[in-house]
Amino acid sequence: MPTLHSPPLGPLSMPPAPRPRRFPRWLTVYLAPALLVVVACVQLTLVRTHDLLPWKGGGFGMFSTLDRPGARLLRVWLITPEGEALVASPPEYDVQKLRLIHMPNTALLDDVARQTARYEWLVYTYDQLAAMNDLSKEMRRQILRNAARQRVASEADSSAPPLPVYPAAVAFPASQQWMKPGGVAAEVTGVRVEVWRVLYDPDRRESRAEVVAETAVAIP
Amino acid sequence: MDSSPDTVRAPWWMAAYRTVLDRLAVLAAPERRFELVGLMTLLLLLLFPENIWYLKVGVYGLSILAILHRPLLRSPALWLALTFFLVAGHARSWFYIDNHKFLITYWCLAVGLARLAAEPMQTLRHSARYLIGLAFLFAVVAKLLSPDYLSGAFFEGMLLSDVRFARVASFVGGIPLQNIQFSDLARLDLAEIGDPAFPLPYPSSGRLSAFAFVLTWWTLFIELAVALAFLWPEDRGLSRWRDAVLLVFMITTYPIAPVIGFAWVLAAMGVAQASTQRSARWTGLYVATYLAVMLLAYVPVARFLPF
Repeated sequence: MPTLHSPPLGPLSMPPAPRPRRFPRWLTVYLAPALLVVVACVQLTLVRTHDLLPWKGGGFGMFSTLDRPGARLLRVWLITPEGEALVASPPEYDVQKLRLIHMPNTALLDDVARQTARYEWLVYTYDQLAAMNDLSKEMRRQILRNAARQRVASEADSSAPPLPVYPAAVAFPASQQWMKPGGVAAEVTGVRVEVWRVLYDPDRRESRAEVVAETAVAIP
Repeated sequence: MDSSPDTVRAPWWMAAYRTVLDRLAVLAAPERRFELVGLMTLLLLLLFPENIWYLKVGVYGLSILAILHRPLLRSPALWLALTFFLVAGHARSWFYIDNHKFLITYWCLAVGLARLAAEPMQTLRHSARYLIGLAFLFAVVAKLLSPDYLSGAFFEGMLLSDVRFARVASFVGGIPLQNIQFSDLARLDLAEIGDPAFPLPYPSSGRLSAFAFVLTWWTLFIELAVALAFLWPEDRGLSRWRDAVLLVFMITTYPIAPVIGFAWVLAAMGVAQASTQRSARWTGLYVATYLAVMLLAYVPVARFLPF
């Protein structure tokens, strides 16, 4: 059996090492760790100054906070003379969605708002949305949740006005008109873009959300 | 009864153990250890590249060449070229790639620079120690600075909102699994048209809160221990325990949160810097962990759990 004193095993047998090189220790040992330190310090700064997602950016902040991938949401609202409508199917923007929500800034959000305004939209009321057949499971569950909230509120106080539903109006691309008849062409006077993060409140044992960044752009 | 040395044989398991150690001792010798570290790193690069075409072309091409022509493993140009492609790809995606991609990039740079030194393996040992120690130090700093870590909110919320931990949360917290799954669906709905400001209930319990508290402080303790052990002056005090501490971290973390890329780069760095005392044993344990993490990630563990 091979031991420490016997020749190396065949498959990993290597030729002798080349002649020694002379490079300073600060380069060969410390450069890579120094880069780690620099990048991590930059990441820590960006988390606190630019709302960078703590799990990303090379700061080794994963598993340190619930502000993580999946906890941040994008909401785009069309502002019309009749009110606001939530964009239910955001288009493909010329900016990575991940860039937008992992480190949002006003310029990016403004750009998204202007891109949104270039599309044609159809606005549907909540009642029209609830009557649609081809909704996603998630939208269907939100409708059920609205109904449940209103029922609970009504049972608590039958004389109170019904709770507002969320969203009051929804916008779909006009290209989907053949699938979703009945929508009204939107006269977009502005677009509001929000990035939210959803965290956890252990005292109340419920979610707690806050806006990370938002912008509103008027469309002439 | 005849008990002379000629007739007393070691048990079969002892003989097998010594054989394994002897083979590992060969691998743990400096230049052989370098090859092992190089191959572990190349496998990591081949199996877990970021999905950017020019990064893949460069990394795949160079890694395959080095595996087929082993002398390339000792070429600084190979590792510096790999670093170039990694930097080119990761620089574009820095805001969404995982942190271990950064660590892999630093590691490839450290390997390339070590090949420029008079004593490559000795140089790489130092770099590996500093990279591991600093990565864990910043992980500790991030947790201390986090607004929801020390309160236990992070782990409690994580256990209830990450589908990987649903069964654990149900079992430990005494919470019906369907309650956790329902809450998880509600959170997924937010991605569509749900109201983020409307509070969603989390089906937590006192037991789960206590478990989250234990996880919070255990994780902080073990990561701080790794950071200190690897940054301590070598072969003194805490540094003598660094391999054990790192392996404890890996064994207690990655079966639950299988971030294979991170486990593999830690294992490769672990082999590179393994303590000179009992280096064969530590090398073997790092390689075993390297294998086990990959296998566990694909074994449907949930089927075998009692909960």
